[in-house]
Amino acid sequence: MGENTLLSVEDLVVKYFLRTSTCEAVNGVSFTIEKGERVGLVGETGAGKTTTALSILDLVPNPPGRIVSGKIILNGEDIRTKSIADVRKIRGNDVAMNFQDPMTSLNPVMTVGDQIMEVVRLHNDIGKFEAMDKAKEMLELVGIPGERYLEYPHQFSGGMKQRVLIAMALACNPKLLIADEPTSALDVTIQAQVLDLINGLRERLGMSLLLITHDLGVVAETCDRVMIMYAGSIVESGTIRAVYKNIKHPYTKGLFGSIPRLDIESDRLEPIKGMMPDPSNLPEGCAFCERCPNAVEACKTQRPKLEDIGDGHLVACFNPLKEEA
Amino acid sequence: MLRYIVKRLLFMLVTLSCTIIFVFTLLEFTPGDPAKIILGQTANEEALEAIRIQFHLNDPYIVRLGRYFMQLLHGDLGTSYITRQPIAGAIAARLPLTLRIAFFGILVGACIGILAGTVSAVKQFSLADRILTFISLFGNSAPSFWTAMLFVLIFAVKLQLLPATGSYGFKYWILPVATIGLQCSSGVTRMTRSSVLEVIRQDYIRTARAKGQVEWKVIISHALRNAFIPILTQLSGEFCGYLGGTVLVESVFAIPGIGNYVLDAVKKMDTPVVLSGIVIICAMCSVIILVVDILYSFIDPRIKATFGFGVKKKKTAKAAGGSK
Amino acid sequence: MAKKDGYKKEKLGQSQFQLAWIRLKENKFALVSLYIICAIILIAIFAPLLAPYDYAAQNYDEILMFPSLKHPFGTDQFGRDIFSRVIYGTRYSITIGLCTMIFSCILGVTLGTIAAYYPKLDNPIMRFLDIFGSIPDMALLMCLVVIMGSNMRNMIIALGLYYTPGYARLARAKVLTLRNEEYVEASIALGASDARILLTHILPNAVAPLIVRFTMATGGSILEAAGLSFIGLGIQPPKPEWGLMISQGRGFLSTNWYYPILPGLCIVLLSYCLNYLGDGLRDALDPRLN
Repeated sequence: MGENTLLSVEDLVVKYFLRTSTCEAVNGVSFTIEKGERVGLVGETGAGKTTTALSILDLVPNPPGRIVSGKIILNGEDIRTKSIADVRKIRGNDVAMNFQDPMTSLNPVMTVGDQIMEVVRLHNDIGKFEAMDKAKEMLELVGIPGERYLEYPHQFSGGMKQRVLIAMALACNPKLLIADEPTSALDVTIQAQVLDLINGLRERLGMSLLLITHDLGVVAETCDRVMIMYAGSIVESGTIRAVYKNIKHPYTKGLFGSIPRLDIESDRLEPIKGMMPDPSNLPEGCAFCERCPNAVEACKTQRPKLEDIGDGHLVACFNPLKEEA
Repeated sequence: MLRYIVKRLLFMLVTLSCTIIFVFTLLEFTPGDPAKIILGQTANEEALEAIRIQFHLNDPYIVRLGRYFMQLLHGDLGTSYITRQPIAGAIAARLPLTLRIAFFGILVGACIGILAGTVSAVKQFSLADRILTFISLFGNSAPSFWTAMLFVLIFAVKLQLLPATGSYGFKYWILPVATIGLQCSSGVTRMTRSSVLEVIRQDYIRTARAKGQVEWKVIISHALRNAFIPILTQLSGEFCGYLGGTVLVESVFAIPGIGNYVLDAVKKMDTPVVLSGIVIICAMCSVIILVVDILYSFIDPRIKATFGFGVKKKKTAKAAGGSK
Repeated sequence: MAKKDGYKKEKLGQSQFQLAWIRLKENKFALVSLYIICAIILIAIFAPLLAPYDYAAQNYDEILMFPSLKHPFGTDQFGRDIFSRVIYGTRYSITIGLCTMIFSCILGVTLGTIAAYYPKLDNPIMRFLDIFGSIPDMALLMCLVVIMGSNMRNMIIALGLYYTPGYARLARAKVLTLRNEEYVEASIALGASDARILLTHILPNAVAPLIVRFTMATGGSILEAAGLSFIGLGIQPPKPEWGLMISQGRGFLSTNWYYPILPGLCIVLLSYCLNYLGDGLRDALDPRLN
């Protein structure tokens, strides 16, 4: 942790307490995000990525979820110790979040202008007309004609709704944008547009970016660092070059093996055998043990911790993969 | 937009006409001889025949039906068999009383119901939720006339605070309105609770919170505004129910409203009064449903857009953009 | 681990209704309501054995007496024991509630199913029911009473007709959705007749919302019946129907409050229980809705 660290998450544990079981969604996750850095958080559905992101803003749905322990340090202060009023000042202002499905994330009975104005007026003491101007300005910034601020969400397409959401997230110039699968619900061509938009704006406004996705290609294009998450824990993290060129964790290898590649001749894709364990019934040892081709005795009974193997490349594995030729 | 209103108006008139035909036909089956009802059971045959001719009772069904529609178009609701007076006048005097109780009752019920339902939904499964559900079921389980009598017992007899019967001043309205309000609030609470529960799970509520919005504003500006449409439907249904249903409350408080009027007519077999009374009640219901339908389009922009209102908005937006 | 296994065992091989029953049992309010309703039904059946006096027995020495050990609910202006009358009154309420519901359920479901299955009849049936349903409750009931006269049988018919459109709409909607399910298509492909498909495949799956409506509308019909009797259009004196008793006690509200209030309390109790049971059944049969 240094001067340049914007966000530091330490040992975050989040559980969902259901009627008949407890779901261990996030198990001791730690990471940092520097100022201006672009970090990708990759994993399958159910790995705990969204829950981690929601925890940063204390948006985990309170029944049934709860942040059990851990620290979330933003700009030197642990925001878990803050009052809800203070956390609200951070939401949308210092840290902004974009959610997965743009189709349902906008209030259908309010104009998009009103919705952007709302976040502006929440964190800035400005009048209604100034806020309206700011809203129009944000719409222009994301490539939507400013006059459309009077229109309602149903009058926009999916891609444009996502732009509106981005405009809303960036309206107060946050230091960190958390984008949760910003392109999963969109067509491929629109995906590229939206990613370009996010990248461009990020550069202009100098923010950090936490990009949550299951798409390794998107991460490679957009991020400086990547974190691979599996069953509630980070199993590998490091710079893009380090991780992509020198995969250490068997799960990461499996993820890459599941993608078709142009430069290698192969007949079949190699999916990972088995399925992610049920988060309400995690095994004692490493969660990946059953599916892991590299598993050793230790894997069955102990959970590996993240260890630095050089150059900021972290792996949580008792038997990591060797260097590739 | 105007086209939509006109279309709905025509549709309403057609439905209303069908209802009138239905009720008219139904009442054709009233047992007994109308002439004897008018003149009494002991009148002689000549007088009866004269009355039959005077009231056109010998005409075939279709002719009488047609005549009734013609009368309606002229605002003539027929003549009572018992009082021989025009019905329209009596209804005009009585309808406002019923409307007053129903309207204010619904207002009170809506205020209590929406508040209780929202609290219940936001604090689902808590003690407050269970208590509110228990109380709100009371309105649904207790007959309105009994609640009315309970209020009279407590406030008029025991505490001597409010008058028991009569209708000539504000004090007199409190208990009837409270009775209707209590009963109405029950349905509204339940509908609000389920509607808000559904809305609160939506993604846009999470977005509002992620913006840093205060919780009570999230509930009111974001959740309630979206939850309102089913609540409005419920309210209009309740109002229609009370147009006829206030007869029970009117009976307890001796209020000469339209409910009591039709009730007397039923007991005396005064068919024209029953017919016109029900026709007026149904007409009012249709008007309310029409007004609410149009209100929907103002509340929900998605409905507004379906009926061409969006075109106007684009022009305004362009004008605003053009003048920049 | 053991608790989880127990839960799993619960899930294997149990029908939808057995699961619903287990869920219902967890709802304390609904369970208590069910017991109270069963108790009331038993009281209705064994009324002559339970009532201390004959409900019609007049005793002019003991008129308008306050509740006492001898007369737990007091006596009315004819000296009749109100407690006994209330006990006999359970018969009217239960009978009216059940008969009305059975009548309207059978009629409504039949109409709704026909409308859903034979599209040519759909429009006329539903339009007619719409008109029927557009007339507010008391207005329609008063209208029907004018034609038929006021006694218990006619009241049951009138109330039954009033509740029919609700059932018809429900049945029609359910049949329309279920008709498109694949297991129905499979049955048709196997050559099953319309009636067989309806009875063995569609109706059992449509039963859940019908049960809920049945329970809750029973409460409604009991209230309506009490209301009609109160204004003199339902059950006629001297029968001990609760609504009628309240009406007869009206004049004595200020002097003998127990006379009109206590029978009403019984109506409230029965309705409350039916409502809680209905709520519980709805939650048990379709937990998603909570």
